[in-house]
Amino acid sequence: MNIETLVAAANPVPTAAAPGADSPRARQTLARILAEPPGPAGRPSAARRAPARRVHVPIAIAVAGAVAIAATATALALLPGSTSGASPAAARLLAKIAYVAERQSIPRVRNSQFWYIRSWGADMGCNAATGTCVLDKPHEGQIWQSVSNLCVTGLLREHGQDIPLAYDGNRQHCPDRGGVNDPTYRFLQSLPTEPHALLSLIERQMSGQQPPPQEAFITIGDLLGGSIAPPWVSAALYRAAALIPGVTVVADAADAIGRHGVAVAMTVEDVRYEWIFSRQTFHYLGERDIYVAKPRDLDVKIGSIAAESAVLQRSFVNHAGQIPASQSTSSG
Amino acid sequence: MRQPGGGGRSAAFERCYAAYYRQIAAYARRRVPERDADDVVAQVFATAWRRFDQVPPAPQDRLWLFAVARNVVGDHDRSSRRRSRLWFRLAQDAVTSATAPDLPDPRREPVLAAMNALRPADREALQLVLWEELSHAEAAAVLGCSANAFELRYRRARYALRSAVVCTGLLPDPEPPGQQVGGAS
Repeated sequence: MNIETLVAAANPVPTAAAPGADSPRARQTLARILAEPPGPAGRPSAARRAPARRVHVPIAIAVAGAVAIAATATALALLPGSTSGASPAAARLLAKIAYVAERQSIPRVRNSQFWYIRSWGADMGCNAATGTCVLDKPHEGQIWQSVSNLCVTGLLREHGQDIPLAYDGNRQHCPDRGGVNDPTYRFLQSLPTEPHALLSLIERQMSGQQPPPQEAFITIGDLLGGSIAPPWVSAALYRAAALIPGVTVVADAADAIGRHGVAVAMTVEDVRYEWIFSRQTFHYLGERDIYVAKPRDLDVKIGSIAAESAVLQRSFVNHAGQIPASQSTSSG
Repeated sequence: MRQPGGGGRSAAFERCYAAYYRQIAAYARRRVPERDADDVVAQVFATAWRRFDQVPPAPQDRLWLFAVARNVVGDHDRSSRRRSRLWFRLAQDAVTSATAPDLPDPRREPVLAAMNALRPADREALQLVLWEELSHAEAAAVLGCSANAFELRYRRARYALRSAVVCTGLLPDPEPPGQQVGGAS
């Protein structure tokens, strides 16, 4: 008996017990859906949604008929101006950040080592039981992961608990140095440094529900805050981000511990994702995700924080659980 | 993207409806009171019909539907906040009434209670894998997060739930040696 078995047995509604498409209710629903033409604006369910943004409609869809794109998390059409790359100000800022990142010292890393990342952060969670959305209390998290092989058990220390990160059961092959969604240092070392090639590789490997520009920005952001990359790869990631349309600059943003800086940002649906950098050193400080539009029916004010983080320390250590002596911090 | 078309579009939609209705109906019934579940399912498929050009081909269409269902349930939860206490009690009742009466499992209540105490995002990771029977990669796609982020969430949920359930005596044995990594420094 393991916990998976217990959870599966506690499933309140086995799939076989749910009604199928041949049930009377399902047939009625299907008839009602098909009776309506697909997609014109002004349908009740579309009208209830906040008209968060007007988007350009791809030609293939325009041919099929006007489509009102609702503001759900799963689908957004192409953003306007999708071929132009980041805004000029964002491109200039990213160029400076890349220049600095490229000149960081190159760490000497052995395959047996772990990267260590200590950060503070908080996420907004919506609780079905109370119906409210609240931002967690910011708290510390520490993670140790093998630099060369995801099959080696890592460690997450958060909320006073040590949680082993044993990936081996889910790996198709061992050793596994990961990919853009689950990187190791050795994987990051192998990435191309030409920005177009790097962006193209990220777009091929990334997963998620957003259109490619937004998904690429989010994926790169995860790498910046959640990994340690060699200096030349960090620089290439920033240069790749400069190729993404819709990337802008936010003049002032603060990370989870209140450090202010300048941010490279992109808005995805109702939330603006901000990577925050020191104005003095151009080093990565953390990320802040902030509501810039009010989601439909969600009791969240514009300006509320959806998630925030601050990276405090990154380093390489010899075993999981080892706290590095120095306060070395490398920019992501 | 699916190809737009007239009658072909309806036929393709009906195939999709027939293939996945039960899975989406089960998903909804696990998360909202039974009286609301059919509305949730109808809204999911109405969204799919409205935006059928954007529904990816099989097997990704199933994940697309789960992601829409997740949003619809999220909207339902949020709009339910004013009646949250009532809603929660109803949800509990729905869970109880949906329980297969011929298989009363005394382990279920403590497990569900422990799951309810998890952070919502962590609970969702467990549910998608163990109730919806999605692979980790599929669940990450539904949640729109990276595989790595999903893995962390899943492991954290599993660990927290296991700790809670051990306290109930349902899982008396510790994890096999080698699963634990010490905090030596």
